[in-house]
Amino acid sequence: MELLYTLVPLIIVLPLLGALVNTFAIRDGRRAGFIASAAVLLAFVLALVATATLAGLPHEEQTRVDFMLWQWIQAGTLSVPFGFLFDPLSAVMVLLITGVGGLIHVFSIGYMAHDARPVRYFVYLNLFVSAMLILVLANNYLLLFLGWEGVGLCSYLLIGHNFERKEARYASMKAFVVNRIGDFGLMLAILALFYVFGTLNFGGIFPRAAELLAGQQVQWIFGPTLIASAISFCMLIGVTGKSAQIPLWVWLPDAMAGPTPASALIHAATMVTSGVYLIVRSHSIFLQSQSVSVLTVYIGTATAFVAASIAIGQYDIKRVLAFSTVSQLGFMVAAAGMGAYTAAMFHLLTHGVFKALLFLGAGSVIHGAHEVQDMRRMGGFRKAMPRTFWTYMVGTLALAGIAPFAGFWSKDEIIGAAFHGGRFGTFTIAGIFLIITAVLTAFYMGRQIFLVFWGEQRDHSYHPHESEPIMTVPLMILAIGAAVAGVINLPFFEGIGLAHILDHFLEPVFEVTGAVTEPPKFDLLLASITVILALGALFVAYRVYALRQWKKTFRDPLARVLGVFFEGFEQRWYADDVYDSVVIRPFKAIARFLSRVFDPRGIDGLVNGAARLIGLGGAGLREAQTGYVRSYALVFLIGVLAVIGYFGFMTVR
Amino acid sequence: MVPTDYYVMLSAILFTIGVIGVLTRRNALVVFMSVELMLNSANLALVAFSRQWGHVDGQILTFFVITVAAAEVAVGLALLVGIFRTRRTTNVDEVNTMRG
Repeated sequence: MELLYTLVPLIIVLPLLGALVNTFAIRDGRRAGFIASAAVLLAFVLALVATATLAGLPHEEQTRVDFMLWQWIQAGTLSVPFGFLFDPLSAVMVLLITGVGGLIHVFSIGYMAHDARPVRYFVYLNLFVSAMLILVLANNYLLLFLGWEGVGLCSYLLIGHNFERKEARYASMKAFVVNRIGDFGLMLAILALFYVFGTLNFGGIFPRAAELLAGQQVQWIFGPTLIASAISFCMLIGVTGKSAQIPLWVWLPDAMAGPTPASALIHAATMVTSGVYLIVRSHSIFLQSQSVSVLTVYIGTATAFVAASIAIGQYDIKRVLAFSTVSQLGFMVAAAGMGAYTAAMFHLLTHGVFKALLFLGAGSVIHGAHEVQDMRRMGGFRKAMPRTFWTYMVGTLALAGIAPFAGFWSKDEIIGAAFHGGRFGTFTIAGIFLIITAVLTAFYMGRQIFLVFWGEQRDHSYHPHESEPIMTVPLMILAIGAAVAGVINLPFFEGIGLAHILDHFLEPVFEVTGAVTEPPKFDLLLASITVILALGALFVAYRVYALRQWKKTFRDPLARVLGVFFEGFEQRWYADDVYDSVVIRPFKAIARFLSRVFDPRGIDGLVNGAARLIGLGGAGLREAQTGYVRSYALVFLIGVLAVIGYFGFMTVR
Repeated sequence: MVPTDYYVMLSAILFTIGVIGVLTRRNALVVFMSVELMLNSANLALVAFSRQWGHVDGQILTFFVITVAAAEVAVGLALLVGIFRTRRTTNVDEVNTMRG
């Protein structure tokens, strides 16, 4: 156990050290890449050791690796330690961040070889890993918030990496501003938590949450509300910002303006899942509020469905994956809302692996196709880049939920939780929509691989080539992961100890708050239905896209069939336009009014008016200074008479 | 013995003449003389009250006034000569360069 007190801080310090070394000592991009990768991979090794140590501890000890490095903030009754909590929940997150993150770092060495600023890129990437580790290892909400903001900053910096391009600049600003709205919600939640509990430490909040929050009401904007609902609602706003849920999801698709491996790490595998992590971490608060939990389910489901439908209408290879990520995050958030926390974490982990694989695969495709991103200009890459193709296929099957690839197990567990119910009853409608979403997922992924890898190359203005081994090896490792990651939480093989490994591993976290539930039962019928539907969707995609030779600027054949709906998919359901006219344009109009009317007339008018008033007064008084001695003497006399008169009057009286 | 009232009345008349002189006359020299008249009317009143109450305080103050008036005249006349040399006039209304 003492070993962990050294290991855990070291895991965070290593990437930070990498960032510092690269900032101050390294000029060469390739060397910076190796240092950055080594730092994260070393952190991964340490994380493995730490997790193994943790797993070896007695059951109830596993949530007590909670220690303080130093007192961070001490003001009145507020006392915030700079301390870490390494429990099974943190452990799986740390493994995902450093493991997948390490592979993405290695991949980046090849991908960023021709970039103008590779050192800067690796510094930000390392910094991000550090901040993300702080987020998942913090033992109190304020330190979690530090990590939360840190990853937001790194996300902003990495989206804007190619700041010569206008859309990258705008996308980074958009991501930052939209995230800030969500962060404000989280901040309110943290303040409310301090108000109720008097502490921000997880150890002081979660075990007492049930007792302190049960039935307690407070007057709030919606009238009398459960305190638990108010807090979890504010937290949910934070979640929608960071995890790109409706209504704050619009930043994530634009975030694809950043370098592809950064998208893989930040906007697919790790950062965007921190909202899900937050819900699972704060489950004892969410459990006290049925209404917000149900709201969470529907927000997640709606996001999953809407984003999946949009993904069908996109031509940009990365954009499809971006909307797919939003959609899959919707699955996780929905699961977290249902109280199926392990299912949410399971999907978070498997998705982290196969979505990173898909993004890196897309990166490899873009790299090999000389920065072409439009899938209509690709085609036939199966022959040009076989290794990328095969790994991409594995990722696609995992995402589409085809057994026995990773995505099948985790997605099935979420859909199962919706139908079989848990703490908050069953969610049949949400479950049906999640199945439809799963089918859509299979369809758009099929569309993608058939457009990119099948057929003949449609645009011959470039020669696609396979990427170098430094990029394809991480792809292969991730492909193996995407194929077999389901084993961490298989629903059967109880006899040989393979069933529900993740369920059992995370159990101590829920024991502390008294929220342990039975691992879900496997529903063969449901699983068969989803797999058959997904396979059907893949087949339909094959029939639609793979059998014909398209021109390089073809219009999607679905546009004819679906009409306005397809236009909606293409235009992202006009969400950006709605925000533009409802929020951005009024906001800009107010800003313009303030800068062009209120500031020059109002503020400047006030200041200049005061100056002019003094000036006028001075000009008036100036007239009194005639320069005539006799008039001064007269004034003098009048003054004397006034004084004498006054005293005379007072004396007489 | 002449009653003190008479002295005080004479003093008031002299003082008023002095004030009118300061306010109405334009010649700096006459203004000066008017100021002197005012000072001396005050002296007269002081001496009269001194006699009335049998105190020497008023007489002592009178000596102070005479001394200070002498010094004031010295400075004032020097200024007057200076002004006349530079501006060729002793009319106080023409000396208004300090006008605001």
